[in-house]
Amino acid sequence: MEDEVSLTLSPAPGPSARGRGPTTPVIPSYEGRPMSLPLHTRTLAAVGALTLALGLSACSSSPAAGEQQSTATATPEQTESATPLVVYSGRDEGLVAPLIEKFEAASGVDVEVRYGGTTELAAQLLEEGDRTPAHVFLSQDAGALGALADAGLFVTLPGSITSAVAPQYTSTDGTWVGVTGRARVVAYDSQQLTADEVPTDLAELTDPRWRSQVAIAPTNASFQTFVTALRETAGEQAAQAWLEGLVANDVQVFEKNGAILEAVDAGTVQLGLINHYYWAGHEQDPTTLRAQLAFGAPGTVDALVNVTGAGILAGGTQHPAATELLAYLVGDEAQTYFVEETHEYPLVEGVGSPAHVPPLAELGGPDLDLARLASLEQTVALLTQVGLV
Amino acid sequence: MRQPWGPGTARAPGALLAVAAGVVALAAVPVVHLLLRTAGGGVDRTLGVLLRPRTAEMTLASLSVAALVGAGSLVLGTATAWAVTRWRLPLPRLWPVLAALPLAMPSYVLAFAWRAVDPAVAGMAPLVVVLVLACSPLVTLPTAAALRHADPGPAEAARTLGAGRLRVALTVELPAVAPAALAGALLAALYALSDFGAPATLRQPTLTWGVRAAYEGGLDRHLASVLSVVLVACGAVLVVAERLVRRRAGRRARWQVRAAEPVTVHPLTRAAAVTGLLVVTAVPVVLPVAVLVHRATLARTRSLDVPRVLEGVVATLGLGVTAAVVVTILAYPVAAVAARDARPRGRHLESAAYLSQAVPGIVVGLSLVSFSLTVLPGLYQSSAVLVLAYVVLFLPRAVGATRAALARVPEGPEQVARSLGHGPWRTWAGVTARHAAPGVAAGALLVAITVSKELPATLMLRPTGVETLATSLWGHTANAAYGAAAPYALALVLVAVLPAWALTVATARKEGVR
Amino acid sequence: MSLQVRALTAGYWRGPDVLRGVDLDVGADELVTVLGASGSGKSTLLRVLAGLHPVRSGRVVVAGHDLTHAPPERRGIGLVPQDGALFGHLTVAQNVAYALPRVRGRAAARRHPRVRELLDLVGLADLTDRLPHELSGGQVQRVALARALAPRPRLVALDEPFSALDAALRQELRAHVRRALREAGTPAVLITHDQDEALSVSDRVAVLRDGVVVQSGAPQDVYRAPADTATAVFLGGAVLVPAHASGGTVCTPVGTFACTADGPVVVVLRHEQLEAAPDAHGEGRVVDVEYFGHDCLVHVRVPQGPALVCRRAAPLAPGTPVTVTVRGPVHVLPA
Repeated sequence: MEDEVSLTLSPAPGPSARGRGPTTPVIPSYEGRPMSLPLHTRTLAAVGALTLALGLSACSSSPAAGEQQSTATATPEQTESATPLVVYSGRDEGLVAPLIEKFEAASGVDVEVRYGGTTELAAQLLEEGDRTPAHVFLSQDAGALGALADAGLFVTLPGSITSAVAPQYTSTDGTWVGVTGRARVVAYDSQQLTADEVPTDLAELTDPRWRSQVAIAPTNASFQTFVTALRETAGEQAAQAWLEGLVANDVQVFEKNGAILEAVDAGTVQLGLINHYYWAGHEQDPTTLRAQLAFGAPGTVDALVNVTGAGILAGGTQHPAATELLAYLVGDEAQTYFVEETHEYPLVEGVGSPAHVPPLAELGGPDLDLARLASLEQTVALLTQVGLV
Repeated sequence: MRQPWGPGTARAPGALLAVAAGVVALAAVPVVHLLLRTAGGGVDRTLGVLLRPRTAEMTLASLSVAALVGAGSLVLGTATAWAVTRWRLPLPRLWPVLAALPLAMPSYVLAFAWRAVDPAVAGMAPLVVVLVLACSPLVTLPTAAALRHADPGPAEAARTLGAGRLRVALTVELPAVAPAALAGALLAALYALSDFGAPATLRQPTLTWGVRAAYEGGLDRHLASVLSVVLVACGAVLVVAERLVRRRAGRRARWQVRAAEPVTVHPLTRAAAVTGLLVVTAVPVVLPVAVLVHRATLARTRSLDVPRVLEGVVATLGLGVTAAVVVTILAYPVAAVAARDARPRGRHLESAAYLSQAVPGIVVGLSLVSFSLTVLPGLYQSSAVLVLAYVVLFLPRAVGATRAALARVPEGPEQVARSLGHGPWRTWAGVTARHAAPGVAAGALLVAITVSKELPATLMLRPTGVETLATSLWGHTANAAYGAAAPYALALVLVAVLPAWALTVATARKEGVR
Repeated sequence: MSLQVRALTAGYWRGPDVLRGVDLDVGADELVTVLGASGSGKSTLLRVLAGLHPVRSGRVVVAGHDLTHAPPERRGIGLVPQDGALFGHLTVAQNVAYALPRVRGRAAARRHPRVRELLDLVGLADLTDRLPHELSGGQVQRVALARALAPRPRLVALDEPFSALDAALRQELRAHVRRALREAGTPAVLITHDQDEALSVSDRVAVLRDGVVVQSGAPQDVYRAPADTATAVFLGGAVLVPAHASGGTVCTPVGTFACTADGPVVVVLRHEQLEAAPDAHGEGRVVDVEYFGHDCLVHVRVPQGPALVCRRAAPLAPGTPVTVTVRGPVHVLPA
């Protein structure tokens, strides 16, 4: 009876302090995180630690192009202290890397290659000036070489190198040497066009008949050199008119020549302006391709034969193996490689000619001094003005 | 080193503030350098570039893509979020997880796969489709979180007032989550504006494409600089807008314990919803992978250079991890100030760090090439500059994740620890760090993965001889060598896409999207 | 009869019944409060009435229409949720106008006669263009009430409308709501766990415990004659004295009372019925005092018997000898 527990069971004491009721329901679900990490976070942490270990090991070793192959065939002459030869290559990695590897194997020199667009690398070299880390510049075309030579970025090459190549395919002042030749061609869709329908004079490409059916790569050095040649032979006005005509005709812009060839082969466009070796060196037998080549009329600028080349940079440090590399490139082994693997025209005698295309002597390029192709900057300005870049 | 201050004080110590300000200044370097360079080119030249028709064309294209992708993502993302949270679907736990999937896939891989199937695909329409598919999770995830945690009270009240389900959805429920959805849409627009890989693959000239074209195909870097400035200006507008809208979304957010029950819908609607969800979430990832595997198996053995692929993987991971560690460490002071400092300067600092989102990768790359050459020639073409680029690009993300993690650290245990006699360092190590660690680690991992997928800045800044998976893939794509490119794309999917997806899901789970 | 609920059962997703046979009546013009502790099922009852929760068995009939399975939009039952649940992106006027047909835009809402009428009714006529986040708690509830009344519902259901407010505001708001509902002539059901609220504002009180209505009646009836001890305690401070009744009386340490029951009983003594008068020869001792300003509760220990809690105007020092007497009729419940 005197048990207090059951009795004074009054609710919240006093009228002024009555129950407040439930608090406002704003309770985020993440409060009160437990002190130990939840399971999936532990898994994440483990994965993170693993990748960290992997990454740090990757950072400590610096991968270089061609190195993984050369370790297998390392020659005893390979010295530990040799700095690598740095090459800026405007030529595609797929085309040039195997050759570089061969050079590395043969000479024992460590080569690091930076791949990029020819014009891009030329611009970079111009900007880098004396501070450039590069030793050798491999160019896809003569225009960039000329521009750099005019800017005084190259050293004069020894006569043994420059004389290995026919004089019309190399520099006149010995600052750079031509390595291979390439013809400007028109790839056409053989399913939609016959060989006769393909215009031989590229001025016809501004005709409404070819609206949206022409493909070019205006950021690519080969096309830019072609435009330079056009400016030199036909004059500034004509070149500008032609480019404007192309733009008005809804010309299709691609980044690379290989992509243009694929597009023609797929029938996306009917005509594409590329270099011959993309077709000649195709994985499939080129004669079975849907895309076929039409060469320009001999003697006209449409049959321009451009050259790839190399030069040794004057700025920065000089590398003893630079000359060796250039000599190798104009040597028989490299030239044979170019003929057989990349299907370009060799510039030295007695190495043969690529299959499926007319030999170099028959192409009949215009009578044009390659040195005049050095006005690359104006060409780019023109392309910018016209709106293709 | 940074000095953690005691809990309860609302002002950051001077040292921490100075370090945070230094980090933000570092992130501002590319933009500042870019502006100086552009100004140095002369007013006439700059105006000449700005006023030429091609620039206007490309600007219009960029803005159109951004607007269309923003709008498209808004519609698609909101619809997806609605179906996932409000309708009763089979396998309910699967859909929020799948919704995050497309975000992990790089847009250029998606575009590349499409082009591998149909080489003729090009132009604005396919670009918008690709980007909408890739970016709509940016709308879906926050909208779904907002829907799931929205107060069901107003919707119920509206129904008692005579409104049917459709009217309630349109007039009450959607407006409530509109700020979250809108913030996501603005972010999607920003991504679309800054994207380089997809427009270049699909050959649609935009400002990012223009910058690259000017850099690659021209000797005049000034053109590229001016275009970059235009790009950054557009991006800045979007970033500021997104920040304002997101702040409004945060203000309106009220997290409820009781969530709205999913509604059973007509079986036809359900089937349509499931199909639609699969198309939007799984197809953008599964289909490209299938196409890539197909191409990779078709390619001749000569193209499949496994050591090179592995090399790429190692380089990619190495850069990713290094960047993640550096970015996270640098982000911590900024995040700490933003999370704890009661005065507005904490927010201002975070906003300043956030603004670097307006600078696309390609512009950062361009700017840092020139910067490292002129100002830091010793570091030219080294990984350090590349890591710096990643810092600039991903600092906002790391700051956001770290700040969120720090904000969630309850102050109670910290204060108790201090009252028990633990010094500031010990409190930091024992309480703050332990609570914040999962969130910070998740943010760091996400940075690592996003760095692995980064393309334009890496293309421009990578040291000679270093190729990441993204740059190798890019090189082969430009040659239209799909067979050769496929292994790199697949490796990229394995290295970056799957972990990114797993992480986004884990993070979303933490945020409460079930 | 505006609302008739018969044998209503409801529960959550395969769980046990939360409402286990509820019967409730609300007449026209009546404000009935359903009073229950947390977990008694009152929120569920309200949601069932509003149509937001399914019924397992039983009937809900409003103004002659069987609405047991009708969707919420067709019931004509207005809802005033606990936190108001206003539409955050609409102004006050637009919120009130939501149920009115063809009212679009702020200006139209502001001008609509029904909107103005209702806002006058709740005393917020000058806040038409405010947004909900700019309103105080009391204002939010009033807007929510105006909004619920706009379509002239058959019944208004209020979910603990005053619980989020502080005491002073609560008083004021109760008066507002009472007056608004009276003037609108709309019957209402209000649920709460606060007995002050229930007793002061309603015409009838229904006490809900464990899913059933244990007692329903006018506030004074329920207060003075609770159906069982739990109800007695829930409705106000009480001292329960177990005793034995025989022969029409029951003896307790504080007095003897008339009683109709026989056998073991519990005598219910309200705090205000117990008077503690200071008395030098008193047997009781003050052991504790709770002071509330307007009055106080004095805890008194008597030598034989339970601890007594007496309400008086002025406090007494602990240890003071007192005599405790009982005023007014006592209620006796069978034990």
